[in-house]
Amino acid sequence: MPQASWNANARGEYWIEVNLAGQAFQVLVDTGLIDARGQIGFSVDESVYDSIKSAGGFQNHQLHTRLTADGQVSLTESGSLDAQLICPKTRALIGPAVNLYVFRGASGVPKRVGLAFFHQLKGCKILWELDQRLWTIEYP
Amino acid sequence: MNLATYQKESALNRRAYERLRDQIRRDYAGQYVALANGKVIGAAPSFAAARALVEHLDRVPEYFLVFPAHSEPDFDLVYDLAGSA
Repeated sequence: MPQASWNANARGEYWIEVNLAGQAFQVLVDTGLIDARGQIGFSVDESVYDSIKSAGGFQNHQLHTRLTADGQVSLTESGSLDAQLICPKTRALIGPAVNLYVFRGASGVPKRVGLAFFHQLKGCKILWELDQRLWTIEYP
Repeated sequence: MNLATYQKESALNRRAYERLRDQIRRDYAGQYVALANGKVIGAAPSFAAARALVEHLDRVPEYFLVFPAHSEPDFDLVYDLAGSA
């Protein structure tokens, strides 16, 4: 199967590129963004969210209830869209397109991709070469 | 909102939704539904308009849901451990 790979940066963060409703975004891989129903794929800051919304990029909206690490529970608006990986070398769209919700996150918090996105990549595998700090996705 | 409030209100709304699911899908098809205090507050053609139905109540509840009538609302918590409220 073909592969796409991303190296961790100096801080140990893995940033991948995804297409959200027709726009490319760098998003931080965040295994702490999880929901039982596997619906929430991304969190973006409010200006990005509002930009996608005003361009008609969302198909549906919902209110979700979010628990943050400081124990705060808050209502958060989300919108659903189609998302797909972008190959770091060729810039082509790769892997399946998946439909997920995007959180309207706080400003100043990095754009992030959660586990639901990876869980929906049917037929794909992640190879995490830990000592090489290399995150690879195999896609059909 | 504290966790206890969420748990209490979420359980109330979940019971109401399970009772009203078929009616919601039939009566509000194609609309957004606002659910709070264990009852349907109303429905509107847009997300913003449905949310406003709740936010214009005399007593605005701390916890409520707005969702498309054709899909299941999410009663569960989303863990966002790097996020901020």
